[in-house]
Amino acid sequence: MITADETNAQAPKAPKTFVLVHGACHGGWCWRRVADRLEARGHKAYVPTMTGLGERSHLISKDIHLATHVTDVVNVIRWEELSDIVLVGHSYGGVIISGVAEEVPSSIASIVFLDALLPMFGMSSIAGSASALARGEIAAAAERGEIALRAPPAAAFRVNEKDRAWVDAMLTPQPIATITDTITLTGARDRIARKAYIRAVSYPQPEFDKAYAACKADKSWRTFETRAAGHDVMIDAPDWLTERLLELA
Amino acid sequence: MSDFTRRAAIAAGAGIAAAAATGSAQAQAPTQSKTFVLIHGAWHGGWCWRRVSDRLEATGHKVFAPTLTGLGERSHLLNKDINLDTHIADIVNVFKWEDLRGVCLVAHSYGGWPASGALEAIGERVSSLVWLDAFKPENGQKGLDYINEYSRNALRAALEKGEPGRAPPKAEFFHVNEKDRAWVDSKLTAQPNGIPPQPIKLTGARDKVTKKTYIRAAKYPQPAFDKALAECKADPSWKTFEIAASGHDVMVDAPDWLTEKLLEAS
Repeated sequence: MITADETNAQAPKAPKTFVLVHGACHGGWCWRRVADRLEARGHKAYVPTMTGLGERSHLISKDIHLATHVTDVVNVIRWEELSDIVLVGHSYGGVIISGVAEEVPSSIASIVFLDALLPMFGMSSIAGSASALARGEIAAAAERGEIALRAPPAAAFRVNEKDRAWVDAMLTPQPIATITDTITLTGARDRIARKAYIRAVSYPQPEFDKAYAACKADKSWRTFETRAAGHDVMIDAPDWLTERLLELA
Repeated sequence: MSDFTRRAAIAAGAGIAAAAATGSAQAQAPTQSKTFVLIHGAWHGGWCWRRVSDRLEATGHKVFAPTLTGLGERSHLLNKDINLDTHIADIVNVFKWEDLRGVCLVAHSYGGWPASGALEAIGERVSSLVWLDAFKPENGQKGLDYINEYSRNALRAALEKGEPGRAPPKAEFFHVNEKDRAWVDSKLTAQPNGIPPQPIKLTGARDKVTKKTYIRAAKYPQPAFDKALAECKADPSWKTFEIAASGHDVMVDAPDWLTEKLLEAS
């Protein structure tokens, strides 16, 4: 389907501000291709790296919580005085942007969940929704006194073969408390006018399937899916994703 | 955050360059596109570069303006363990994870300390540097050797209260133009106290960079910057500029002039 936005893709729209929030074990680095494409068209893209990860991995500590990561993003919005933003969360980043929406809802014009966790009302934690196997691994790591969970290989995310060595070199451990913490949501995310869920359907993840189905059934959400990318859509299909983000801006 | 953890993270980062070179996400950049890494000074954050970043990006250049740990939008991370090594790693790791090369590294004020330290690790990735009203430390020196009266008093007061950072001065102290003072005041955050006591380890990487420029905002009194300017003037490997029409925060007071100078110096 060709939309009006796509046919006008080369015409400069009013410059938009994108805040792109990476997933577990990733960092701002994963958005480079998409950020470059958005900036080349005159938009602004902020790609903060969550504390303890990527180029902030020298800060790893047991004191990094889910709330730390929410503040990592909220403070970028505050210090840079960003408004009317397109807030995008990938994977674990879906939990973070849901928390960000609670704190600075009036700054957000559009919110996009990219193959992401979509925590529901009330208290929830990632560990709580993990598979029994993953829950066991998290509990075992915590018991061993580890402060972070090792990154899985890029192949596990079905990253395209050419980019796997690069992604493997960049991935860093995820602070364990960010996985076991609970987040309290009051529905601020769902009150944002423009909401979208993008599912990379060739990456198997029952939680994402559930979130995608829920969004499809809700008229206030737009939904897209791609088969041409693994879980790291920003790496596997940056052109396609850039078009979608501009359409949703 | 133990030293071991930090070293391990840096060491892990060091192994990344080779793997990153092949599959990295390179910009679809215009031919003359350059990469700038802008390092802010004490009490400031990446926010202070906004006007200059916007101007550079509007002409197709890439800009990274990381906020050092404990400051600005990273002020929720302020703690007593933040030292000069933390801020050096903040810079080095941006180069490693973003796979930056051929960079123009710009350091403002205190930023001259961590930027000098970072060059020891990433000197070969920097093709030009600009020291903007900045400290130009030598091996073994520490912030306490240069600390001004305001900062010395603020540090003493913070340590007495057991606080991990010392309060910022008013924007007026930096001779920021009147119109922007309230804005700058609203952004400034505490400077971590763990930094000034730590001596810097340098082996001359900064001075090996071929293109070097020192810019002095002469209106802002700081003997250390006067001395650095005089040294750079006497050294043919440095270019120097002075600006009278700006306070210490040149990126806030004179963004057009500074953007031109950075493009010239890069």
